[in-house]
Parts: sequence; C-alpha cells; structure tokens
Amino acid sequence: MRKWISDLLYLPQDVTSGIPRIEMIGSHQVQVENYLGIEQFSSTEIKLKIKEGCMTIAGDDLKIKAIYPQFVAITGSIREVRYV
Amino acid sequence: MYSKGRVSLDGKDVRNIWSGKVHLECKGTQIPVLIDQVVKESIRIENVFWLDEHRINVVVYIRDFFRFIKWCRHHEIRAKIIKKQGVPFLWKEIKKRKMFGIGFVLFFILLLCMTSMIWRVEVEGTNARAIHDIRMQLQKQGVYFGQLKMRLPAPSLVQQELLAVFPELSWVGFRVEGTRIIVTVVEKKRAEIHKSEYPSYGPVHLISRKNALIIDVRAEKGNPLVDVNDMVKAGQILISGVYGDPTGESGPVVGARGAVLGEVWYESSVVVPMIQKRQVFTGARTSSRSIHIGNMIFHNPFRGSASFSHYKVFHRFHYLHVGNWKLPLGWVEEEYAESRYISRRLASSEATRLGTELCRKSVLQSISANGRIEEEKILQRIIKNDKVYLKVHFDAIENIAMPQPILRGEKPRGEND
Repeated sequence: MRKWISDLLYLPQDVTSGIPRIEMIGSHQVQVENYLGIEQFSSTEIKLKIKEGCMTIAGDDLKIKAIYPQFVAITGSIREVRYV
Repeated sequence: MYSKGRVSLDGKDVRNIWSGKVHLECKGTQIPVLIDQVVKESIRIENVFWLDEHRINVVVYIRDFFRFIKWCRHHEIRAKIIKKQGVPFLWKEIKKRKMFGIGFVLFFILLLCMTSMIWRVEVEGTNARAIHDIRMQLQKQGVYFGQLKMRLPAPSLVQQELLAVFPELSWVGFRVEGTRIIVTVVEKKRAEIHKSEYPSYGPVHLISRKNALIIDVRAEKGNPLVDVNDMVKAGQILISGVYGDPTGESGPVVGARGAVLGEVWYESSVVVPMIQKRQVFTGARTSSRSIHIGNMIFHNPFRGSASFSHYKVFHRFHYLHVGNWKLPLGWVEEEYAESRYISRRLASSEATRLGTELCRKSVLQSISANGRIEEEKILQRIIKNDKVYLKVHFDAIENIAMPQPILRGEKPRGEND
C-alpha cells in the first residue's frame, strides 16, 4: 500500500515506508536514518535493528559519532555493510 | 523523521556551541543496552567509542546529563566525568575567578573610554605665541585634553570660528587622528609690511620707503630734515630722531614720530583678453540618487546617463547615523545642471576700462592704507591678437615714512643714500 502510494506520487521510498536510508561517505563514515535501535556495539562491529531485520557494519576503530532516535553516524575504517 | 540538515558531516551539531557538553567515561557490562535505552529516551549522545573491553567514551549535553546518569545507575554502569566543554562551563570558570573576569571586562571598558577621549591637541603651522592663543580659543569651543570625542564640535564649525576669531589666519584644518586632534593653520602672507603703520616710538629715525616727492611733513617729534617739494630717495632720513646735529653722530636721542606724505609714481601693466569665455547654466537639471560608501559612489547601472553635453554635477551627501555615530555610508543626491559656454567680445574701450580697473586695484594694494591715487594716465595701449596690452601710470599720495632704529657707532642702513 505504502509502496503503491509512493510510486504513485513519485516520493522516495525512504520517506514513506520507514525503511532505512543509508549514506556512505568513502569508507570512513556511514549514516543511517530510520534505524530502530542498537543491538550490539563494539569497536569492530555494530549491529543495528531496522525494519526489515538487522544490519551489521563491520570495520576497525568504529565510533558512533552521533546518535539520535532516528539517525546514527558511524565513523571508522569500514569494511562491510551487511543485511542480516 | 530526523532532519538531516542539522548534523554536519562529522556529526557535530553546529547549533549547539552554546550548550555545554560533558565527556564521560562509562564502565560496565550492559553498555550497548544503555546506549539503546538512552537513544530511545531521546537523549542525544555523541562520540561513542570503546576505550577498552569494558570502558566507553560518551559525550552528553548538559541538559541530558542527569537523565543519562539515572540510566547509568539503572544498568549498573559507573560514569566518570573526564572533560567539561562549552560556554556554560567557561562561564562557570569565569565566575569562579570573578576578579579576573571583572578585570578583563574593566580592561575593555577602560580601553573604550580611553580611546573615546582626546589625549592631545596639536596646533601646527604657526609660532608658539599664536599656538597658545589658538589653544585657548579651542578650549572655549570644547576642544581640549580629556574631552570626549563624541562631544567634539563639528570640524567645519571649529574652522569657521577660528577664522572669525583670528583674522590673520587664511585657512584652518581640523582633523581627528585616533585620540589626537591636529589643527593646522595657515597664516595670511602679507604682500608688504607697511612699517609706517606701526607706531614709531622709541629711538628711531623716520626714513623714506620709496622714491617720492614730498607733499607734506607732519612731524610730531624729532627733527625734520626734508621740506615740501623735496625729492627723496628710498632709505633717506625724513625725520631724524636726534636733536641738533643732523648727521646723527651726536646730540640727544629723542626718537621721531609723525607722518610724511609723498607723491609716489607707480607703473602697472596688464593684458586683457577681448574674448571672454564663461560657463553659464541653462537652467535644465536632473537629479538622481545613489548609494555611497566612504568616498565611493555606487551608481545604478540601469539609470539613463545625463543627456547634457556640458554639465556640472553637484553632490549632496547624506550619512546614516547610529546613535551619535556617523556611519561612512549613506545616500547621495546628484544634481546634473546643464551648462554652456558663452563667449563675449569686449569692445576695446571696455577692455581698456577693465584693464585700468585691474591696475588701479593692484596699485591700491601696494600703497599704504591711508594712501590715495591722485592721478592716472594710460601710457601705452596696444591691441594685438584680440588682447589689449596696457601700461598705466599712477600718481599716488601716501605716507612714505618708516621707522628705523638709531644705531650709534655704526652707520644705519640707508645713511649713505
């Protein structure tokens, strides 16, 4: 239904359907909007709860630069971004 | 949804420089749970990273600090403050060192006060005595050491009044340079000092200023050596200040006083062009407004240019004021007045009249104040190349006496003549 409306109105899907919008700047920063929570946090792996389940960000020296209810910015040398 | 624009690339919230942040070190086992929890409570945290297995670094805003600590206790996590950062903490620090803070503020206030005062008034361009007089006058007008810059009179007013009070000044410049006031005066240069106009008291002879024919001798004191209808040369003694011996070598010195009127010949020449060109206004004028900053005028590039071939521009500047401060910008009204040149051809008689008038004026300037012109005669008149060349002779009657100190033992100047 939501997808149908967003297609109809040419709206980007992240605006309407609450699925995460992930923005990666080089390999040193990832910004995730519309995440639901943090499951796990270590300097090598961060697991975020999202609508469709879980996503993992793996790398070294990971830091949460800023974290707000619907936005998280992660820096460090990022190796992978994976959906689980 | 969280708006993205509020967070810059490195996660720093630009708008929050005024709110303080606390750097915390948290130690415990349930840290990810804590983070998840506080974020759900909409506590903003930043810069989260692991220091080692159990310790984590977190930055919390002050307004969320106590809520954060509450959640730490709830999850049995110990939090330690490492660093305080931001304006509120700085303010607290300043409060703690009150005297320092007061001193700091006082310093700026003092600096402001000092720089808004006049520290020195300099008068240049004249001798020490005149400088003193000018200083006194300036003080009366409110220009003195310690005066606030704000309360200084307008430069044009100072100039006007100084010129009115001291007629011997021809120009007065008034400028403020920082805390210094520089008054530059230019004294009138007198073409010739008429010494005869000075009261001649004391041991003096009266000598002749010019070659002349004596008309009248009015000796009040002294021994007149010349008579009416005598021809005298410049420097010749007219009234001796020494009684008895006319050579001045012996006898009691009484000094001379009086006036000797003589007829002096002057010759003056002048060239008068017969075609006279001058600019006159036709009366047509347009005006426009522009903005100016400092001395720069910014014209509207779309305005039509003045359609006059010859014109003169009059500027009227208006400045913006903030309180007592005049800002160096404002608007300017420009008035374009159309002008044209008209040339007038003078008749030769007219040009001659004009020329003699000029000559008479110049002669009157060079004779002493109580002199007069007795007779004038045009010696030569040549009309060539649309110009009138004139040479005019004047007979003037004036006081030719000039005091000269009596020098005993050596010959005074002019004794030989």
